[in-house]
Amino acid sequence: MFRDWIYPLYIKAARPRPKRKRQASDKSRLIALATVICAALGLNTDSTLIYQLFSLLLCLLVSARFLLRFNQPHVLPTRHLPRYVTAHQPFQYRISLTNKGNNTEQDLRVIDLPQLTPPSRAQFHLAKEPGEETRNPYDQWMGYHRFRYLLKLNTGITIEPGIAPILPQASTLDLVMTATAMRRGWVNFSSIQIQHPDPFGLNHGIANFNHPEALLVMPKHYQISNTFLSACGMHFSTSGSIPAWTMGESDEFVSLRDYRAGDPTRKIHWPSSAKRNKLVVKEYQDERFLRQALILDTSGSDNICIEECISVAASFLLAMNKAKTHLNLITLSHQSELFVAGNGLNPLPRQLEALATLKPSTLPLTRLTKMVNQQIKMTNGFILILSEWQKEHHKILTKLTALNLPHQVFIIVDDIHQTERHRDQSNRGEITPSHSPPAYCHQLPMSNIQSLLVNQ
Amino acid sequence: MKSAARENLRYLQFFALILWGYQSSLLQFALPMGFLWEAQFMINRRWDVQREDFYRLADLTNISLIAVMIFLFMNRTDYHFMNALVQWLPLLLFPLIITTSYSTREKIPSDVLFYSLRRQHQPVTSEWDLDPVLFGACLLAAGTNTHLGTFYFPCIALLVGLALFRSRPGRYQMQHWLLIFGLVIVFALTTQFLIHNGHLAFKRRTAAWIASWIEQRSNPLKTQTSIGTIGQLKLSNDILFRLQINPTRTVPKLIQEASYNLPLRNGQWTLMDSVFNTLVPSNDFHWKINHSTFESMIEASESTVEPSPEAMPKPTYPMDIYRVFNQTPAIIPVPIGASEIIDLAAQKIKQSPYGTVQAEGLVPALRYRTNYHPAQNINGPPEAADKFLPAHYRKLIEQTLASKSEGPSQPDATQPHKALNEFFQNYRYSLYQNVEGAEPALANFLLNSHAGHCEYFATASVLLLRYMGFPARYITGYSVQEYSPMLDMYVVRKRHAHAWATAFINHKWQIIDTTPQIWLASEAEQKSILQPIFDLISNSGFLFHAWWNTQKLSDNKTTLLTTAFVLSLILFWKIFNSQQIIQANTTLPSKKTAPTRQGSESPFYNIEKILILEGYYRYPGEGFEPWLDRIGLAHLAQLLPIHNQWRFDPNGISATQKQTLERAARDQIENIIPSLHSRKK
Repeated sequence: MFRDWIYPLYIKAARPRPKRKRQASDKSRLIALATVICAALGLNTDSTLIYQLFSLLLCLLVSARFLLRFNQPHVLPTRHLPRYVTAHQPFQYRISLTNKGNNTEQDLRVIDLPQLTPPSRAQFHLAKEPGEETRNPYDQWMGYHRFRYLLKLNTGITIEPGIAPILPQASTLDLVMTATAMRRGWVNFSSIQIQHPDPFGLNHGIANFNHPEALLVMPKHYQISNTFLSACGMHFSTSGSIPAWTMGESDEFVSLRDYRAGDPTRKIHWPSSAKRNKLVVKEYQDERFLRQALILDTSGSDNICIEECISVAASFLLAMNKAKTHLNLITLSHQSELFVAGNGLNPLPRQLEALATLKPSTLPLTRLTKMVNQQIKMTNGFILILSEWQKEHHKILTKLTALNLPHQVFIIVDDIHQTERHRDQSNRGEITPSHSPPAYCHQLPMSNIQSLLVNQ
Repeated sequence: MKSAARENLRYLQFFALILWGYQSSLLQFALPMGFLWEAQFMINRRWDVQREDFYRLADLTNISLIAVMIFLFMNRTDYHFMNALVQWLPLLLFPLIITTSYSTREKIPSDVLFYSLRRQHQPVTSEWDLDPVLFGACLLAAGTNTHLGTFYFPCIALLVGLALFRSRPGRYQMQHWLLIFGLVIVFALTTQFLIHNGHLAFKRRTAAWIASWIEQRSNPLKTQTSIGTIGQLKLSNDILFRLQINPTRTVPKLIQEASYNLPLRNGQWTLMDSVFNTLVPSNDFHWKINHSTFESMIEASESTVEPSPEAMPKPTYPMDIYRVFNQTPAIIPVPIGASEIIDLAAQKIKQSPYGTVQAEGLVPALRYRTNYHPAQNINGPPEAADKFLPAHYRKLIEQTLASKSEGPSQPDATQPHKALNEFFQNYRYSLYQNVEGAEPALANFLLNSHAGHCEYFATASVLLLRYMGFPARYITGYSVQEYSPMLDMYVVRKRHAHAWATAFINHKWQIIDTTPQIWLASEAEQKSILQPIFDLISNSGFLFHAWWNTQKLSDNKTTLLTTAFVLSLILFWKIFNSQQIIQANTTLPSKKTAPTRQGSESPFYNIEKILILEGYYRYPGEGFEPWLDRIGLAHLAQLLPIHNQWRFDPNGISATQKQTLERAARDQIENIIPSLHSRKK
């Protein structure tokens, strides 16, 4: 009830104010507070001299505000964003500042403003700030911190203010800005503010430049242990040919080339070496590359788990790409999608883009099963990343096991709320032994994903 | 490492502390505090104070603040005890701020200041810089009294100006900045002149109005009655003051506050031509009340009568009145026969010829004593205004007399008491009035309803007495009637406020209280069933207050000094034997700044840093040569061979090469900075 009433006020407070012309500094707020205290204590001008301090502080505040009208900078900013960034990792980008005025500009503060996306009413009611229960009862009741957290999360990026270098007349210089993306997906920038101080440093005048732009944030990723990579790859191959991890390890001869330090001596082609009077080695190529598939199921109900699933999936894509393995990506979003990897293609950017913008699926899991069935004949191994264990997953695993196809299963477990949820499910009779995943599945508690993926 | 903000306050904070100490007569604290503050810039030692220690310190500061607030409130010597608290504020804040200064922290985390943040799991990232707060508190505290007079403003203007000057933005030239600040000073001087004179003018013009607005009964020149109020009159049961009197003596039934002689139409009584005489204290707040001589009374009554024995001076009885005045000036309630007021600490006490005693510059105290005799009267001799009866009121009295079916149509002036009794024979006491507007409330009381409260009866009595030719006045005060066994005192509540008439009959002022005696019981009916609990709380607070006033700090001086000495020893022992003491040495490279890769200490990186700070950004992955070429400083590439050798050659570079590179880099830095500036110009 109270939240319904307070929600519009929070929305109003969070609304961007493009016409705002001034921003007070901490110093200004302190002086304003001191002025109010002086006004309260110095009413009696006969018995105290506080009114003199009051008059000085008041004149400072008023004149500082008035003086902002003068000496305004004429600077034009231009933003240069990178193509991609990774969530939860600080990154840098440039803002070019061009001085169009007749004076050298200095002490300018540059604020890059993202487009604020306040939480919806439903999200404000349902979503919780992590650790909200440890806040004091008043803060919990007001919900302001929850609103701020959700606003920050939805907006998706925090950008630190930058201090512009000294800008000579008619020059263009770059300012490096530091920002951190809070989540994957698209984040939008709205405008750039150039702020200049008044003579006392109490206020900053604001010049606002509309500069809408969007930046794609890739999911965060983890380091993956080689144990997982090899387990998914080389020795699980069941094809008749000899599998190879990288080029040059199969018995299919490709060409001869000069010996390079480090080449194994067994690959030296002695006849050719004798003819050319220098060492020549044989180069081999695989008969065919291993093709594996990463199945990402985002049909669970826990958004935090799904985000972690996507991060783990991105980590596998990156790791497999380093290992030159073809890894198809199969996802289930508004439709089941397949992102194919192959020779001469670099599917990684496309696959990561797909992960960055992937939304939780509401489709039935049978669609995923159907897609997997289509890919089974063309794939040497599977990696399944699941946000929760369901019957349909059990069917997929049964089939893969029956076909003797190697596969790895990773289930993200929300260990923070696990006990509570487990109790609820037990009460509803939803947990039965047949619902439990097989023992070889890797359960990754959310609080400990990185260490488990590295130390396996 | 000192923060720039703290460096800005160097010396200024010291002088601010001295200014505060001088103004507040606390130099014995201010001087050590100032030196301790300045010493932080000379001492290279810092303590690794843990967050939990800050918690304890902040809690101690908060508790000290509350304790001092309570102490000052209990022992307040003037009404603005907040001023006294502000005076002590720098001292109270200092431990927390100086600990931060000598710790490895620059600012205080928010959870140190706000208890509620300490429990939450979310990391607290916001921090507070309390140095400017101490600076401001010193300036504020220095202004709480007027010792410095005209020097106060130059001092604060200089300190604030220097603090702002040190942190001024570089885009403003010094001479422009000084000019602007000079103008601000002129504006500030004009503003303070206007404020001060405006306050004086406002005080002159509205003093009486404010007094009547704050508490209607405290205005000695005018009182607003509740005559004309519609509906039930609400009366408060709060205890207003307490009386202690020798049980063998006669308890005065009425305590007078003020008297008035001119009735106005809108239910107000006012005073005509009142001049207050200032009383001269004989010693230690011993004020003797002037009593009109019998001769002056005789002269005023225009007759020659032998003085009666009752009018002669008599021995007096003491009575203690326990009342804390919430404002100054205030009217002092005294018994009608009061002759002296003792132990009433005030700058000035004035007495009007109408018996009103007013005090100015009251020092809050719990108790004062009055000596009185029931037969005396503090009202001065009657004047012409005491007989004045406005025409409309004369007509109203005549109408009332004419409307009476019983008794004589004209009152018997020879027997005023009997005439009054007959006049009010059919009138009853009521706190409820249900007639609105068209007819004046007093006329309605006299002609129609015949029901009203004490103000109706007193007003009508005065009018009737004047109609009969007797000088009469309207008196406001309190009725003393409730004895508290818990306190062994009489208590006077707000609902005991009363009004009556006094008339000059037979050459002396006589109390004429025509209000039916049922009024006490009638008003007591309004009290809450929880009143005994409220009284218990109020009386307990009063007893504690009375006990507290008997306590003297000097009685416990030895204990306090011994405790302070022992605690100081423990504190110093803890500070100097703490394992957390660290020695900051800025000359030795710390582990964090040690080179982590070969050649990372190359001076060429300094050139890169300078150029980037100047805005010549190097793109990610951009080599040094293309970058220098792009920004038009290709000649700097001549340093790169040695730099690259240092950076990538496993054997490194020789000492000579290192010196060559360092020298060349230094020369280039000296050259490129002016050239960059000349480019900007």
